[in-house]
Amino acid sequence: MRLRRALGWGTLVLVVAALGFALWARLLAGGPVGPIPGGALTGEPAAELPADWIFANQEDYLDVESRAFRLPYSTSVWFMAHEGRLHLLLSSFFGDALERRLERDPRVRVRLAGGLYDQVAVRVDEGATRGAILAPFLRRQLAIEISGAVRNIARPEGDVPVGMTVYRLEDPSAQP
Amino acid sequence: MSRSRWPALLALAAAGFGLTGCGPWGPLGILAGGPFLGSAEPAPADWSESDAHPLVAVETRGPWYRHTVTILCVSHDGRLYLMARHAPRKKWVQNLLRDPRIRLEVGGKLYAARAFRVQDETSADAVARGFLRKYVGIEAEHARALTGEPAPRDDRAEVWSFRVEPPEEDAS
Repeated sequence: MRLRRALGWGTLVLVVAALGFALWARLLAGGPVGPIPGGALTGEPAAELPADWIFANQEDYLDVESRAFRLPYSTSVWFMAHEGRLHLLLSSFFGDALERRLERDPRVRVRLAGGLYDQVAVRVDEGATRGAILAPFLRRQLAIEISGAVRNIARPEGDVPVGMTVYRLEDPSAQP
Repeated sequence: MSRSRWPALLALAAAGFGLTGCGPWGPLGILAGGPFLGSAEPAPADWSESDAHPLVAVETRGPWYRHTVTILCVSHDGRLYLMARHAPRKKWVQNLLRDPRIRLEVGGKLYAARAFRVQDETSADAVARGFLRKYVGIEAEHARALTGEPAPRDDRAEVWSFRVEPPEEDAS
């Protein structure tokens, strides 16, 4: 009887702790906590946007915040500064929470070295541009070097639904 | 509840939450976990069907407790390969270097096996091509895995792959 009661209390404490942690991460942590998504990013709003983001490549992940829905959402993603611009590589096997938000509202805020920068995410479509951006991305994130012709392969029906989407971040002032 | 009990309960909650990482329930999505519950079945001779699963979970043996994480994997010639980005920093990789025994959860089934780091370039390149097919949906004319530690100014991730082998008693 005493053991059952203790187990019951233990379970309750674990559930409350997990919920409390998730709420804290989502509302109060000031950004993602490791792989756990967070809310609004905290940091120092940047006075101006860098002309070249190459300095960002010393980081492994980029914190990105979206306000597409009522509650701000932030997460850490694979990224790369390439040809002067930041690019995001979103893999479907990590979920599509950020991608859904970017499709709804492309405005994002990113955090680098404590600074907050507003950007607009533009999806890099299939084709030559995507092929050109994939090579440096694959090298940086997965240590795979590709060269020569690249072709998309059709997946058998019912096969694993994975994919990678590339977004280029642009300055809000450059948007029409 | 009396006010004096709250600090104790909060401490218990914090400890409990910390311990969720060692509980007998495997990883929770992208969060690492403790050992798997249940017993493992014999590993398949051909792992090709594992490509139907985007992620698999692996249990490794640490010095004190078993650790589980969700990871990427590809099959090549019927063998299964596990991939680790930023490998030297990963706890499961450190565990594997110490003790190759693993249990794998693939599509809800649990298998006992061992995993060894792939050192030869031919196999590493094959894993890289398998990764491109499975996770990126492309085939490249030339693809090669960059093995070893990145140069000081090279910002690429250090990626290691591990080949899954049968457990010791089945190794013959």
